[in-house]
Parts: sequence; C-alpha cells; structure tokens
Amino acid sequence: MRTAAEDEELEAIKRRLLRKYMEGVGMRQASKPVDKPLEVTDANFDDFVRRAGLVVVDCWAEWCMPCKLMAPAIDELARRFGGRVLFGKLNVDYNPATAARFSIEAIPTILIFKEGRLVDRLVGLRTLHELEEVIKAYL
Amino acid sequence: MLEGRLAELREAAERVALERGVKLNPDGRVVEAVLKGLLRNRERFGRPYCPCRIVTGDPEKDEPKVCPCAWMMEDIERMGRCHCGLFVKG
Repeated sequence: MRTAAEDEELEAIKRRLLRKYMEGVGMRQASKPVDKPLEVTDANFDDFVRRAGLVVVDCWAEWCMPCKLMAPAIDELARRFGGRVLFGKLNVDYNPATAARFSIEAIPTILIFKEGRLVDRLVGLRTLHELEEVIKAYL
Repeated sequence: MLEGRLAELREAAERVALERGVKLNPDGRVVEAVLKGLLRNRERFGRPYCPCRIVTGDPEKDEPKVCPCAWMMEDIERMGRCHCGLFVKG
C-alpha cells in the first residue's frame, strides 16, 4: 500500500513529466518552419500579415484558370522560402471584404507585406522565376 | 441542364473568336473551366462576367468585365492569350 504522501509525490512527478513533454512538443512545433501556403480569410487577414516580417498573399478563386496555373509556383516558393517568408492564400469569392479593401479587380493578385505594410502587388499570371525575383528583393 | 448551358456559352465564345480573328484555347480543360466560371457568374450576377475579375456590384465598373472583356484584344496582343485564357491568338 502506498501512503498519501507517496501518491502525492507520484502525481507531482507525473505532472512534471507531462509539462516537460508538452514544452518539448511546443518547441518542436514552434521551430518547424511553415513551408506551405496557409489559408487566409477576412477574419484573420490583419493578424496573418503581421505574423512574419515578409508575407505573400495569393488572392485567387476556384474558377480562375491563371490562379490554378500559378498555384504550383506559390507552393514551391513557400517551400523554398520556408521560415523566411510566410505565404497565404485568400479565396476572394469567400472573402470579398479583403478583396474590396485592397481594390483587387483581377486575379490572381499577389499582395506582398513587409512588417505588416503592403509594399507591392502583382496582377496576373507570373512565372515562378518572376515571383521569386520580386520576393528576393524584399528579403 | 448544365451541359446545354455550357454548350450555349461555348457557341457564343466561338462566335466571338470568329468575329475577332482569334481562337478558343486549344487546351480543352482551360476552356471548360472558364466556361463553368462564366456560367456561374451569369447565374450569380445575371451576366457572364470574366471569372478572373472581381464583380463589384457597380454596373459601370463591372460592364467592361463581361466576357469578352474590354481588355481581351489588348491582352491577346501582349501575351498571346486573354487574361483568363479562354481566347488565344488566331
């Protein structure tokens, strides 16, 4: 039979180990660079563009062929610039407020934010190389 | 039916191509996707607005975005295709 004091000590050890484990998980998650575009919405847009020093938002829609053609380049750039540039995708069909706020008239439109401020926009289909050169200039 | 409405839009696009001396994109997947977008916009907004342009609700601003859009020939001249890719150089 364990005493109440021993039970309490075991509980304290369990709590300590669990805390240590959770801290480890948290650190691993925090240090893992984001290497793919994340979904951006009207609701999280302002927070999103402040999450990293350089943020690239691809404004697109389901029926836009140039958007679909450019999507693999955006995925690849998110992988290449992982940890240095944060990439997001904003579906303008479902997020009209942001599209109106940034006067987006044609898609795809790429918005580039530095320290939370809009510094550039690219309208229309661009090659991976063209996009990469523009992004590099802001690093 | 969906097929019938798409066929109707395709015929309209073929007529535009013929009149303006351009062609429909030889990639059938692009044509089908754009036609579906046009159909969706026609059903949503009442007119076949280009699916790659934002409909604002202001008739004056939106008018040039009805397919064939106001920038079609200029884009074909510059890029060999219109912005959404439905029409290409003839």
